[in-house]
Amino acid sequence: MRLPKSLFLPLLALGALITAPAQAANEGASIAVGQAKIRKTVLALPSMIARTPIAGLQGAPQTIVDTVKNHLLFMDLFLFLDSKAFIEPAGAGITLDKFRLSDWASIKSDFVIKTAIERQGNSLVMEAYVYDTGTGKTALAKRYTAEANGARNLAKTFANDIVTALTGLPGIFQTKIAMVCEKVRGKKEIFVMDFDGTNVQQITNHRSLAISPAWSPDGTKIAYSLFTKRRDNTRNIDLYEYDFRTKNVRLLSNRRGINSGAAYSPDGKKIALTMSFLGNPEVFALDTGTSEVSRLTSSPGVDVDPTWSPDGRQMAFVSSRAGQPMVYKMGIDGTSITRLTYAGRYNATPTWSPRNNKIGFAGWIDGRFDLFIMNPDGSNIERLSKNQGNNEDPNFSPDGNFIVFSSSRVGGKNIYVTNVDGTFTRRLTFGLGNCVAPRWSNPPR
Amino acid sequence: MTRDSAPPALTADQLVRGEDRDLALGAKLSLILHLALVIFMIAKGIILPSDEPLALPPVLRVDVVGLPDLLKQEKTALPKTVAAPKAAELPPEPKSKEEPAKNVATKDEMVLKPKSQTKDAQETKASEAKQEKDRKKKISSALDRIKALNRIENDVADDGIVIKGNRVSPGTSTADDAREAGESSYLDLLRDHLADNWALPVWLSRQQLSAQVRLYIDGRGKISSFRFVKASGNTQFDDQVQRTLKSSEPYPVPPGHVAASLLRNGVLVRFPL
Repeated sequence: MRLPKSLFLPLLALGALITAPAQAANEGASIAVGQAKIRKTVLALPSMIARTPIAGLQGAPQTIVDTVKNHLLFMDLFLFLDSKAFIEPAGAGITLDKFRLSDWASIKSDFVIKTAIERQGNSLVMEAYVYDTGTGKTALAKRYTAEANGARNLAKTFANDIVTALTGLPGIFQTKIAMVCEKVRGKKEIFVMDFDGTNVQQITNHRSLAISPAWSPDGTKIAYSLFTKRRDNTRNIDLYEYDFRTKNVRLLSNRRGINSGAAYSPDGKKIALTMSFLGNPEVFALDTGTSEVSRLTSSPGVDVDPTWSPDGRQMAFVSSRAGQPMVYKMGIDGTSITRLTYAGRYNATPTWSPRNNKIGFAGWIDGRFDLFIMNPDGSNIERLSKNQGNNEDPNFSPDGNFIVFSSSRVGGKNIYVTNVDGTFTRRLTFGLGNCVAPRWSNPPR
Repeated sequence: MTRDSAPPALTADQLVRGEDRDLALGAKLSLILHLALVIFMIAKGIILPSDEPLALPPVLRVDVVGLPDLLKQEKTALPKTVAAPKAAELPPEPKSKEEPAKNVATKDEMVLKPKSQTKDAQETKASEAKQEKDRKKKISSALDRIKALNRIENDVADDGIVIKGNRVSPGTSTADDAREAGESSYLDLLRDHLADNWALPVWLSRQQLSAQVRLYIDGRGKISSFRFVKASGNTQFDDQVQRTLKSSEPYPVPPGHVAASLLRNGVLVRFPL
């Protein structure tokens, strides 16, 4: 029997009808578990095993353990188990064949950090392991060698490695924060301190007004702007670059007017900044090699505060082209300009997260500045500070976990650090006068 | 159809017959295919009993119906049954309130228990005897109540309705299909169970990661297997998902009608949404 063509379609439909229920069955039932509970990761750090006489270690074990603990606690991601809870018998080793991981899993430790140290000639050698008690995997296994007095640096490196092994993010314990401090009234200089506010150093000594520092991506240079007086008695804001290796200062641009608000591109080859030698302040890109500039924005309003996206393809900046100063973004060739913020009266100083998932800025609300973060498309604005004085100049840490900013919450301006959830805040500067414009360096390479 | 060649005048008629022939063929085919479909569906129902899961949210069904009649039994009998024990009870102990009902339910127990107790505990014989007395009183009162109830029932049989359509009946939450309702409530249970164990370290919660896992659970609430339908791309996140699945064992035991499909088709679990 030959099938007439007109029957082909109904047959096809029949076929579909027969197979349809089978397909529906494959879809099956589904459930959404919802947002996870947030949990700090529990670490256990049993005492360090000394393989050579304690006297020869000059207190290194204690320095290392204390530094590692302090630094990891700074992250606000971890908890340390109290040593009273430890059940491991004395004399246990540091490798998996010398102790039982269950001794740590059973006291609810997510990771256990095992270390042993010895003195070899004039140097300290530390062997360290981090074990995942859940999977039994070794998250970190390293041998560190340092000079006899280098215990603290060794600890910082080790703490960085732990953070990277556990979170996959770069450790920030060898990063620095640059800022402008008015230690002597009327004189603003560039200062640098460690990520936790220790080890403060004064970088410039111009006895003038040095402003808006910026780190080169490799952390070897700082660009900053300086109020200068010219021979014809006119004032100008020039751009300089300080090199940590040579301790030399180099003039990058003294074009007439403003040369400020510098931001290095992620590859370090360009500096985006605000220049006004054409009259209206616009964002320019300055080639660090040739000092040539190319204009990026062109609007009747003021365009300032450029910040690069971590891939170096986009830039966020502040523009008053629509009246109020608002945050915009654009391609680095100055095209596809998009307005990101609409709320508030004044949004300033954007900072693009190195994780590429947020842009932070300071917004004028209720008569003062407060910190906000939003997605890079301008959606999902979250407020991080409230009722704590003025909170300005946000700048992301290189791991994207923190924002450093200046705040007048205790009178005077000081540098503070907060996590991106806004749940943890810590003051970093003491006794340096008014400090503003903090900028966080990348970890050294 | 098989006639010899017809004169030209009949051509139109022939055409009509030809169409008839096509129509007949079509009708036959249609009939055969419909039959085939019916047979297939029946056969499928017999060979592969369908208990495929359907993701259904819990259904609250509100039936708008006429109010039921208030029966004489309900109006008169209920207060009486409550009143009866009050009259019979000597001490107003909460325990004794329960006992009559229990005794009515199992007569053997109520007779045997006091006997065995008195045998075992000789020194407390006097108090036991008193208790037995009390019990007997309660039993007799309970029997009285049963008699009373029977009497009331007989009364109601004569004339049940007291007030027509003037009583609010208790509401119920239900679903169109008992099987579906059972399954969706089990899925709710499963979700709550998983959510209890679903935790992320701080740094992972700050990233917008998601994963989907098809989870197969056996009849005892153990994981039969699971596989990632969509991984997050972040090893740590996917590890946490696995950890959540494993630490959630044992899962709530699936009810009978859900068990088969849970083992065969599994359930798609989405982390987080």
